Amino acid sequence: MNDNIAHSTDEELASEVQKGDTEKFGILMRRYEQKLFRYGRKFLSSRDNIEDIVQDVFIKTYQNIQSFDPTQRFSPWVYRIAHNTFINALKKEIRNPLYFFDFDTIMAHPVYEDPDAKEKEQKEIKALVDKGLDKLSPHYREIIILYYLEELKYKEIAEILHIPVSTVGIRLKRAKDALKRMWKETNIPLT
Amino acid sequence: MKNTNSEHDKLCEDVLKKIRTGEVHMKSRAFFTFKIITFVLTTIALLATSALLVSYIIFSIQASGQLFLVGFGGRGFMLFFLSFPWGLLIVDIILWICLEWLIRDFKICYQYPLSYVFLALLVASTLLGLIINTTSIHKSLMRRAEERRLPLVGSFYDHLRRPPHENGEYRGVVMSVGTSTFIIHDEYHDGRDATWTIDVPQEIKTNMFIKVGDTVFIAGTSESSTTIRAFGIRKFMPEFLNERGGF
Repeated sequence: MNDNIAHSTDEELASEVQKGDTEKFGILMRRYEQKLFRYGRKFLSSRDNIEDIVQDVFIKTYQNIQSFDPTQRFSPWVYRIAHNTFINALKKEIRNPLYFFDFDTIMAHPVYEDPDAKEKEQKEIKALVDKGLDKLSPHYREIIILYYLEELKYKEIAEILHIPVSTVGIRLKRAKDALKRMWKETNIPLT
Repeated sequence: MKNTNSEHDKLCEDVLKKIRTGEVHMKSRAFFTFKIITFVLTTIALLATSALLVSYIIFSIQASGQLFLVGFGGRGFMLFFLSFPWGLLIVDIILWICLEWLIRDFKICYQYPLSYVFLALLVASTLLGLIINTTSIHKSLMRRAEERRLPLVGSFYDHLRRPPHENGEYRGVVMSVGTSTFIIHDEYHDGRDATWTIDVPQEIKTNMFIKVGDTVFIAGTSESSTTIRAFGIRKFMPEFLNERGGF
């Protein structure tokens, strides 16, 4: 039985929850809690109420699970809920319109996802992220987390952020540039 | 690390406890179905309003004769620019932006750049508007407005066949045609009958295409209370005339 559950996909578990098996929701939560904590901690940077916010993500996930289509992937759906919850938490904190209009979403941009380049950059970016990601603007910070830390693909990030895949590429490039610029300006040692 | 794991377990247990005690409820499928139906109806309503506005803009510049101005050279084009219903176009653009905002969370919308979605909405709205214009809806509304039988939106239609003379736009039925002048009768001028003598530039051979009984649109300047110096003349197509063959 337990072996069966361990082999069940997220989508199958979500479908069971939709049918009323609420205990399966516990398994889903355990599968995502580490990822969401990591995502939340980096995105919201050193907040002490991260547990409450992640709990809020799970509550919203449960409340809205009937809107999930089990023929689609569960992961981008739950990340989308997390993204919205984290954004709301940030908005409450800074009391400013957080996401100004992103001009990169207006036009199409050439896009090429290069796994080799990602592998090469990953270590360096992770080190930069650990040193000073909190100084980066939230929409750059988030895309760096999703790509380099959560190791999601462009298509998955596009589904989470509800932006075109080409915008993921250009935003990621701008985010990396900003991060490197910031690193040069502050001269933070990477080791 | 062990501490963190137990904290996470506690979090999961807390959420499950809230679910078991009924503190947290799962929203029903009916709720989401209702939400989607409301969303679809709102989208359809907005798109229909936008298409109706596009169709009205096209109809109004055709019925008023202002579309003819585009063919009257630079001066005519300037007049067309000044008399274009920009306010309605701005309202339509706002509707397209609202539509884009409404559908932005749907994959079919967010997977494309905003400019493409905006263009698609513009094309869809214009095509629907053109389809609406193949029906007689605006013509019958205009007729009812002119007969004072159209409350609320009557003001959108009742002036369409009364061009603003102060802008240099005139309209009337041809009473007689000479070599360099012709006379028109403007039934609706300031709410009373008026007869105008139209001075035609030599390069326009009016007797080649205008005959008595035609309804014409004239762009020109008033030289006296009864004479207009025309720089552009066009004959109205029958579909924009009423049963009497007049305006």
